[in-house]
Amino acid sequence: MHRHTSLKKSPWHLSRSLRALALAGLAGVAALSAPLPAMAEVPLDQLVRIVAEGGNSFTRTFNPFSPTARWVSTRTMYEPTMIQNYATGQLDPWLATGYEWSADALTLTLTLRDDVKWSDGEAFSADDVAFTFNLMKDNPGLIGPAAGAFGQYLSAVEAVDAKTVKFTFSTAYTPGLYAIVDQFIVPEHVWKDVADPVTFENSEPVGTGPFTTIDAFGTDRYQVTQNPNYWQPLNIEGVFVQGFNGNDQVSAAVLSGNIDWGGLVPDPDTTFVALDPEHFGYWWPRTSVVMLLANTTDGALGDTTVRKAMSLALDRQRMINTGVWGKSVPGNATGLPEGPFKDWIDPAVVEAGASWVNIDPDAANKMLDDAGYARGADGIRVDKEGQPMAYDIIVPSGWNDWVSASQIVAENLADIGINVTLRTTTADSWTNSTFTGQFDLSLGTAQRTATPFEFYRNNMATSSVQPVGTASPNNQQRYGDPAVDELLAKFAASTDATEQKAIIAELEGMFNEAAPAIPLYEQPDWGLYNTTRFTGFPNAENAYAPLSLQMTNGPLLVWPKLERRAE
Amino acid sequence: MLYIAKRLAFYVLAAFVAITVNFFLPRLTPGDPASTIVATYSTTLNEESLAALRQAYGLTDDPLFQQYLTYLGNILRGDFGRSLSNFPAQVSDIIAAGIGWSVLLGLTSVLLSFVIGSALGALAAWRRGGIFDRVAPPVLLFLGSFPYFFLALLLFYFFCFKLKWFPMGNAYSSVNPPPFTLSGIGDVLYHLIAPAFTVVLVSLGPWTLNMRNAMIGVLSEDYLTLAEAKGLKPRRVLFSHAVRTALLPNVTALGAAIGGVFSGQLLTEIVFTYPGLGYSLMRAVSAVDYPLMQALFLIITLSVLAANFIVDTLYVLLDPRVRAGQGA
Repeated sequence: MHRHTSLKKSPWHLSRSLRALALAGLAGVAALSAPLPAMAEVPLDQLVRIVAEGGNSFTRTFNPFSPTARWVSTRTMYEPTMIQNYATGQLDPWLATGYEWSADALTLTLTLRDDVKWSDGEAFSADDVAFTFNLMKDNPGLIGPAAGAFGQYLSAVEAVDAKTVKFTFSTAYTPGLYAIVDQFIVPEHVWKDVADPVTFENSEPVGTGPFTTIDAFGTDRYQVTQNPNYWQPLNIEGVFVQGFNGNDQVSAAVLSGNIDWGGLVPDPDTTFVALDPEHFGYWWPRTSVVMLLANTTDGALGDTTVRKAMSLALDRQRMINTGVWGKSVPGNATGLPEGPFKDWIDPAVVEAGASWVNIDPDAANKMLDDAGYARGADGIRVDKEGQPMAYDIIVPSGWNDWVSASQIVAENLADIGINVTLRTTTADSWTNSTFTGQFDLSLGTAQRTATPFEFYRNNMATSSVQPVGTASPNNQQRYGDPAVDELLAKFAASTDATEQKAIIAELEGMFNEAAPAIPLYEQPDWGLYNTTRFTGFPNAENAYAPLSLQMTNGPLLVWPKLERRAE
Repeated sequence: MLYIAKRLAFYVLAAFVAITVNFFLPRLTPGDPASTIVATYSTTLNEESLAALRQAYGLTDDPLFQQYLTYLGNILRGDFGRSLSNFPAQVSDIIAAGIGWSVLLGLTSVLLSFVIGSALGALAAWRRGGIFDRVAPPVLLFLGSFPYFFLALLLFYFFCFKLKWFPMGNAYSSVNPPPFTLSGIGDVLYHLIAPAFTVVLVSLGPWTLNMRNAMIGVLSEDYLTLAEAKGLKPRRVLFSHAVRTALLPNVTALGAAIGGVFSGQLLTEIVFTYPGLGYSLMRAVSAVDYPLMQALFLIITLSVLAANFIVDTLYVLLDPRVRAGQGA
């Protein structure tokens, strides 16, 4: 939109120059918009239309080692050896059929499928797996689930024979299994000739995944079709990815039935499913917990009593009702989501923790009174240094569920004499503040992981605490307890599931004692589907895989199950 | 010609200042590209990945001045580097993908508002005090005072979503760019209607009002009375004498408006899912993508400078006062 600011008085003729300008512009457009002849594209009605990438000005970058490459790179083109399935809690075999630990947990052996071919027809083998890991060792700039493995616990990866890979560990670290099997594998015969794999754009990808052929590619959408050599039967031709610039436009496309999978609409029962109950559906399983993070480097916020009192004041059900249309449950005192970790959660801890995660403002006030945080003349409590307990809570503007939860936090804490001001910022500024620990209060969620090991490491271990000012995605609240480090080391050295469960139960108890973060409610993983043309999407009745398109390992489980409905 | 040489020197200096500001301004805002990417794109990355990303992206701790010299060298060689928010894509590839659509939408809407606005303004002034003069300018100003986003979203909702008269997005129907044939061009134009129309609608007011006011001033000049007294036909008086002179301020404004085309029609791109550079710029800023930001800001500043230089140069040809050294 243009607003011209000032009009200077100045006479000159216009017609000639104007026409020249217009012609130059049109010629430029013509040259840029028609570099390719129209090609035969697979008809759109044969493709699953998804909402996964924002924006436009798409470029052909399919490097699976870049988190910002095209969405399909790690969802349809390259595959890991095994897939941690957050819907079932199982580790599903994929390019590998299984794994085995040595008794000392220092050697991990993966057995690969022998019927896999790359999309260019070459056979997939153990050499490709070993090559991928060694490529990452030589190029630390390659990002993936196994990035950093060599620095921490891995010492060598080698192909024993065509279908067996051996991972040698420098130190016993059994959670490394999930990072290793989650890593996307690239073909040695293509990547060995790449000069710099970090900046390799990979515009003609060769992968093992279901859709590797770039059938058509435009400035703000593209379609990717079948890998002729895929190792599983496929019933669909491919995917169509449209870039959107705004949430309203995603909603409009979803409600018009122009999207088969993905997107987010507010209050889906009323706005979405009601339009076509036979075909429109959603499934929001919950695999992480939204937490209120209090910066423990601040005097009073570093006091467990204060954090527990704050927790007692919070109306979690109201946050759920306003923020996520009632589609969640309050978090429990272990900090773990119930769905994926039901086998790990110790019911005794959950029961004991009710004393600080269930709403009770009177108990909260009493706790603070007893601990010596007396109210000042204005009703605001003062901390041990005599400063009023007034804090900012920061969240990114536009993250509406979190903004509304933060408003409720501010209201609830006012009832117990703690003054909280909501400040919405840009997502970038928020990331910067929370990563570097320069905030009072904020919201956060945990990474999705196969076991609770990472949750406790990232929220309670001294090893995950960075000094204020140093950026880290983990332990933003900067709480560390050396006893946690010891337990985590015991867990990492163990291959015995029963022993690991006992250690996690102990960590749950320590989380319940110390409240390093305040669990609010379980975060739904947004997922919508439209079965007018395609069927087989996972949902609550058929929970074989996550429905979320954002996970890197969810969609791969879904593609082979989808079917085109007969016309 | 001394005048043009002086102006040229001024523009070279301005371009250098702009290039320098482009480098330092993004770096003065707090933010860390690697953290932003970890936070935005991944739920599984850790501190190790963060360090690796910094290394891969060439985010060094070299002194800022040294980085600035490297940057100047790269600019001179036309090397804009790789985008951080679309790594490892080349910045030049991202810009090439969007610039054509920005120019098409921008030029079309600016030229249309200029032509239609000036015509309406001339008409209003010619029949001064008539029904049209009393209705059109206030209505157009009213439309222009609407927040653009709201108006565009409203039109999108009715004409694209409900009535389906126009497509709900994109610059053309196929996925691959359309062929350069009559039907291909028609398809592009069809997709252009809704986004361009909304921009024209809200920007028409000032063009119309400025034209009308300039016309009224010109119409009271003695030479127009003379033209009428000579017995010229009213049509001839209107076009050859009145409009021609009164259009000049709007033409100056056109130079400024064309210069702004590259800054993108961000809101139009959002509402109509139209490709272009505006959204890339917004994403570059929010992702602290220095290389992409720098290149986009450079295009914007250079196009503004170029448009102004063209206007300045044309002054010399068209305005005797400038040639006489009195300045514009």
